[in-house]
Amino acid sequence: MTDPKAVETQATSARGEPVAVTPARGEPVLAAQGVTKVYRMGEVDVHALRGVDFALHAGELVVLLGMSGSGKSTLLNILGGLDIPTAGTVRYRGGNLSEASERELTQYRRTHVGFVFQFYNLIPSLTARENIALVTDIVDNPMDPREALSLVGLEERMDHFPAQLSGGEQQRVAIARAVAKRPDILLCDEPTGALDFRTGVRVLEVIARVNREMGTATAVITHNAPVGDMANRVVSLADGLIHSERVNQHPVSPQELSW
Amino acid sequence: MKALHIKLFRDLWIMRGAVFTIGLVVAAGIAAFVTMRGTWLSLSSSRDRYYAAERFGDVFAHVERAPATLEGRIAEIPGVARTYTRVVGGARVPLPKLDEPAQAVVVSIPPRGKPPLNGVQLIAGRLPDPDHDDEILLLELFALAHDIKPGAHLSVVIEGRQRELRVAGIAMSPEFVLAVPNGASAPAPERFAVLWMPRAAADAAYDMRGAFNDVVLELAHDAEPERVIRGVDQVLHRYGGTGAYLRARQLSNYFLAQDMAQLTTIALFAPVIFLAVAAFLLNVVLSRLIELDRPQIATLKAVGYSNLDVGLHYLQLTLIIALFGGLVGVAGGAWLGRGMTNLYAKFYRMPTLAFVLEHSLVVTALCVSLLAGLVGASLAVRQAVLLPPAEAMRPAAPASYRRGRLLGALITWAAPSTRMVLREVARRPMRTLLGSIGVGASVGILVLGQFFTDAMSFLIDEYMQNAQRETMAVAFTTPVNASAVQALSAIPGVRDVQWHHMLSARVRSGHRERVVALLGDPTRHTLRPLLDDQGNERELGDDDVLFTETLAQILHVKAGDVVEIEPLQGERTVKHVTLTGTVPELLGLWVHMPAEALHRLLGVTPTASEALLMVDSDRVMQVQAELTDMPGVASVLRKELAIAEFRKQTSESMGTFTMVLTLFAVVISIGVVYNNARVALSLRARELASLRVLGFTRAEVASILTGELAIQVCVGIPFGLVFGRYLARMMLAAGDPEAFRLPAMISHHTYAFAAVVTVCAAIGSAWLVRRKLNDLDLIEVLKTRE
Repeated sequence: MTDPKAVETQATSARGEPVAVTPARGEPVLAAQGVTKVYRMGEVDVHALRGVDFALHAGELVVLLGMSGSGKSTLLNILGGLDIPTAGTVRYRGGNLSEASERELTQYRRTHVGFVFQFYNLIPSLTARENIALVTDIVDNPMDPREALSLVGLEERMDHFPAQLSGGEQQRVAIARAVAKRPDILLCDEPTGALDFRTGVRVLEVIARVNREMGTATAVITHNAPVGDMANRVVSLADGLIHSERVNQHPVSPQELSW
Repeated sequence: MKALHIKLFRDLWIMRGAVFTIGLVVAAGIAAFVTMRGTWLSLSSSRDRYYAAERFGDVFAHVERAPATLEGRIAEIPGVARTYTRVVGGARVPLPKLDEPAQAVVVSIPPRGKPPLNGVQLIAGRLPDPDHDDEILLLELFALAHDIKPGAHLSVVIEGRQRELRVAGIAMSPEFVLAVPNGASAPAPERFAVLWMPRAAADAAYDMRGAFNDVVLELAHDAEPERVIRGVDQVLHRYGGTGAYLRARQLSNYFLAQDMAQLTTIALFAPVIFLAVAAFLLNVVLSRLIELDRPQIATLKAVGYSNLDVGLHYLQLTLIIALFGGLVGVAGGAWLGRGMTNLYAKFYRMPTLAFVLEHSLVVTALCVSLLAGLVGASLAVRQAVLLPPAEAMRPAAPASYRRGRLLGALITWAAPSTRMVLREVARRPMRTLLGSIGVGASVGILVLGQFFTDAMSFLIDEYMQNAQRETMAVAFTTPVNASAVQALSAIPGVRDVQWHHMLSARVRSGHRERVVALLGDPTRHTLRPLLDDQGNERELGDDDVLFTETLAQILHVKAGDVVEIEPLQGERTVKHVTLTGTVPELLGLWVHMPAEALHRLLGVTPTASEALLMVDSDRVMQVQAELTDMPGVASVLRKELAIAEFRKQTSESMGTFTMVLTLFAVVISIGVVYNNARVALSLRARELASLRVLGFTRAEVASILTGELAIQVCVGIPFGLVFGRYLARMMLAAGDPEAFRLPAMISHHTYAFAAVVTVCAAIGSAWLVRRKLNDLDLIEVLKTRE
């Protein structure tokens, strides 16, 4: 089920009016409309997305819920400018990402998007601080890598290589790396997928804190339904379509989650 | 430093094994280039400086005896800028150390000051006192070979008369940069002397008062050399001129040019092969690296690095490897070049011959190495650039293996580990093939390195031993009556005497012409038989005019064609002859015809320029001594000695060359095999670790990896043997066929050597990889994401 109102709001803002963020539910920062994605895997076409409408608003934390193969990672990749849709449009603050050039997409990712991946994707040959510097080297007005690390509580581990960090620590470094550029959007793909419960909760805490303190619009992908309880909004995907959407009036703290 | 640069250097450190081995392959190529090209540049610049400083002549002519007044007429020939007439004669220097006297050339010098052309540079002692007719300057090479110092006395036979001469000084000249005795095919410094004698003394010694027998010319800038030569020949003809010739045919310069041409060929050839292999290796290793780095590439792109940034990152990686190789190569090349130049300096005496590493050469070498890196990296880097970030984020699709029909049948019979090896090969035939090509390249270089030695021993065994059957060759100062030659058979110990008449001639067909050796043979020349391609003796028919194959190719003529022949002696009238066939010949350009026909053509009575003798082995020294003292004998050349000297010189220069090429080939072999194995190990670490967990032993797991290598090596070796033969032929084709036609002969020993060295290099590489495999942390590997 989609929210026609959200689509309406987004369409208006696309005409170029300045984007005003209302505290509760402002203009969408990022909006996808009728997005489909078809992959060619070997000799078969895989329809990963079959016409998805989705909006991410400033300051909100959305959990995208779905089983493996539901198309949630594909949607996240498209929202993050890592991939382009086969059909449909994706708009970031009025700009059309689905028609953006490779260079524009790179610029979009560089400036506005922070990624957190399931397998952390740290560069193994760089220390925690250097992994963050990898990002702060190429953006304007970034955080100091040390500051980003202290945000995730890992300041004292900054000179450790990924191999010397636990999975949870690596994921927190990855979060620090994602937020160090002060992104408008934080996209997290199964950030707890490779972690045990306790570590997973710590990671989610960091994500929630970044969302709360920095006001970064955040989308978290997970197959783990209880995680939805910490979100402002939960969008469920199945078989490449949005299956349901619910708004949480009272999001809980990650510490209160259990699975 | 930016984080991406830190990653670059850490990655380089992690893959230091590959960096080192690939860098060495690049280094081998660059070293070959710097060595050969640097030596060439050093030789050519010191030669040019030397020639200019000492005013080395452009045109040379020898004449029996010409009146001094003729010099004016030569000077009037259009294009002649300067003339210098002198007296040059033969002599012999008997020394206790030598079992036969050394050949010597006496060259006159002006009483005071330097000769106007073909300058002589005093190295030690002083110039001869013109008032003493027994003082000379001695050629440095000869003085060095016999440890003769200024002030020493030298016993010299001039015109059959023994004289005691005093060595006033030691000297060198651009005319005698190297010492090649008459008739020899290799320099022999201890057997060839030059004695510079003040003009008056030389005049007296050779009875040349008021005359000269040798002239050196300097040409004007706008001169037409061929016209000057014709002019000089016309003037000197009546006085017994033997044909003027250009500097290119001057003996010392000619040998120098030959060696330099060989250097140019190798300087072009060897680096191209090495760098192609290095580029290929870079491509293989970098593609694998990029395959392994997929998640990292995706991350870089996800966090906002552009395709250009990512491409540059991997490009920098290769360029650093290439630059490392280039720098090592320049250093190694400079070292080898110094050694090589010093080797040349033993044979080629020039005042300033030293290896000079020119800046431009260093820059070129480094640019070439970077270019190789660029070529090698381009495909792999393109792969990284084109990799879509979202796709890179997903693990690569599992490799699809097929059962295949033929291989499938074969595979079902094999043990599981063999099956894995065969399936991997079947799945990625290109990778196996490329690996085999790399191995083949190193085998080819090994063959090429040994091939020169093979070709030289073929030349010695087949040509010098088989085609030149005499014990000694006697050259006469002027052609002698054929009947007088037969008298030599009366010398005790001489079993057979044959003779031939050889002279220079210009052969022309259309606009193509060459100066050749025109040889009048007896109809049955058993000591110097004409051999066909199969090595069978061929008789010379009465009307035969045979060209050596190279000459026929150069002039574009075949049997039945009419060609012009202008003998450069005697009447010099241009004659037309019909070419009747060709004969193979390894050295030089020749025209063979029956002696009778030659004499008819020249319009002279039967004469011989050279006699060939078969001598009883126990009488050789006595016969030689007797002949040497005979008037009219210019030189007596014992074949055995000539072969020994040829062997000595070639083994000295070829030995170094072979060693260097072998070393380089081993580097390549290890570079290819080691890197292929490393790449296979890193790509299949998970699979191999799984096998270990399933209970396979280390040896069994290693055999999967080494099995693939073994297949690459087994396919690569036969390919390389064929490739090596092809390389040898290409190299021969690139050389100057007019001078030296080496046969593309490769011995079984060479093939075996190349195969064995490659197998050893492969075993060494396999051992290195086996160690890596033993260090593999099973749990860690399995924990990581596929």
